[in-house]
Amino acid sequence: MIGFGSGEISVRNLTVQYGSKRVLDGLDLTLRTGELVGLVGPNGAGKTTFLRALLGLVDVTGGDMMVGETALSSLAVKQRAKLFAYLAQGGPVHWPLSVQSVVELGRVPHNNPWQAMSDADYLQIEIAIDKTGIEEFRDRIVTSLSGGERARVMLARALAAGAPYLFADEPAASLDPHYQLDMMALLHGQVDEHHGGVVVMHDLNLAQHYCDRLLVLHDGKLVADGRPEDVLTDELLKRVFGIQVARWQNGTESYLVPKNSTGL
Amino acid sequence: MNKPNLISSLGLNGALVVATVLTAFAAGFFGQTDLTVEQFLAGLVGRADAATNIIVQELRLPRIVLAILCGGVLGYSGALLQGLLRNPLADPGVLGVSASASLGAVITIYLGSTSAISFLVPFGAITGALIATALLVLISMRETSVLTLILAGVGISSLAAAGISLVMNFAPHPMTLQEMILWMMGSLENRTFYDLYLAVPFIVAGGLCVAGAGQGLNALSLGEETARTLGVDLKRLRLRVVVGTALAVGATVAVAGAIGFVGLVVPHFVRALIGFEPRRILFPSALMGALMLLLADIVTRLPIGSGQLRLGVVMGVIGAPVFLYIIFKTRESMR
Repeated sequence: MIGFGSGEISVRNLTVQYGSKRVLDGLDLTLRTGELVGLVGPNGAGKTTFLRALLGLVDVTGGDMMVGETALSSLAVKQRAKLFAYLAQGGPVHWPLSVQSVVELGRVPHNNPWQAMSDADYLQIEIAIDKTGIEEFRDRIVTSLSGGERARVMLARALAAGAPYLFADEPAASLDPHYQLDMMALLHGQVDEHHGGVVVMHDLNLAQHYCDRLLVLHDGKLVADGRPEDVLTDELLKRVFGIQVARWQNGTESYLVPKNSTGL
Repeated sequence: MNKPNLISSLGLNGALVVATVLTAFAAGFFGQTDLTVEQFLAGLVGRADAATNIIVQELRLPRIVLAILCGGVLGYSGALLQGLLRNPLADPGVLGVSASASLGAVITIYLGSTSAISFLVPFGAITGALIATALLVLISMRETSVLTLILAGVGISSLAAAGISLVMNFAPHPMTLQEMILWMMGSLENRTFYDLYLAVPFIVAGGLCVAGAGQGLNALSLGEETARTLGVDLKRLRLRVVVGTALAVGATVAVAGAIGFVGLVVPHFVRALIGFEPRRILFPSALMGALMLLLADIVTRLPIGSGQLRLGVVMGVIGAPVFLYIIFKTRESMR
């Protein structure tokens, strides 16, 4: 790909409007590799729309999105696909494909329709399979897997792209507690100096434990951006989510449990 | 459930090529005049007696080539459309092109009932197919949902079917009606190289349209949204597949009539052998479609039908039970 490397993604005054409704209202923020960013906020706050705007899946009403010095809108679809990998929420698999062939789809952005996959492609596939620990069922049919196993396969597919940024939309939402921790650890584990990620999530404990930074969206506006312990204040939780929380400390880890909803 | 593929794609393609070539030769021997192997081969290179030369070169050969081409188009189109629509029930008729081509043919037969313009029937069919294609292009240029495309196909099909009923309703003569019905049952009888010349340009154009679509179909296995984030231009892919299959299938219907079932069942046979990857089943589906149509065309020429059997009918009678069997065997993995 042509030199975006792990360039910063800068978003300036991003606005998305459906009819008369402003779904995103003047967002300003910067994403960089080397950190896992949690995107939290109430239902309908615009979290998924924000990811979809970066991915080019929705029409942007106003504002700029840049990678380094290049406008995202000037990229070809394949170039954007090399920059961002997307793990959709509960994404379907329409045919009973093998796990291996699903993971191989992650390499589509890197090959034209006539190319066979190269050794470099297979290397990325092996790395993704290894990272997600799905080696033992790589020959199984993906529709026969449990929800937790399947979530790992879909993550492996997204990781196989080798994209600088991974966007995951509620990747832990339908998983049991074990696989939730597992998924968050995998997402955090893939972050390094050349790779970053944005995770939409609702579980605030998982968010503060696994994310390096949190973005809080409320009614299409970015209302907080910073380290989890600085962001998740009682005041913010009350104002944005309409909840009061109980907190306690276990060693260095802090936990919060919603105890009542105050109404918004 | 770990079900390895029964054979490799390469093995399947090889076996199908061999089977198709052998069947094509066999198709040369059967007919009103049964030929020996020597007579057929001599006729092929023009070294037999004059009558045999004509039988082989002007009657048998165009029929064999058309069976291979039409079967190939139907099988390939079925696999393409099932991949694009992610629906195992899609067939080349799903977009309404076959029905529209039939309507064009039936109208031509109607107009020709008082004069001898039966040679124009394929042109009528192509015109019908092109009108339907233009409608589909208008729809797929605007709309990004595959569901709308399917519904539009249902609408176009229904409209064409209504038109066919209307024309039949006003058929001036029972003979005209019979001609229409027989045409719609599909046949490769009495086809010449002129039919081939008519069909080939459309089939080639269709083939060029859809070349390289397999990668996009593979990505579509993960849904439209994910496919787009994998760098697939969905609008373009949809347009290419719709136009490509419409042109090629329209040409097929024009020269062979409406032959159902090949496009629907062939991809299922191929999947049962080499798995579900949409791109991998495309080429074997074309080969298997060609083979099936060749075989069915041989059956229409066997003495059991006393020359009355129509190709489309044979396809349905053989195809449907086999289809049910395959579905029964693979229902586990189709959940």
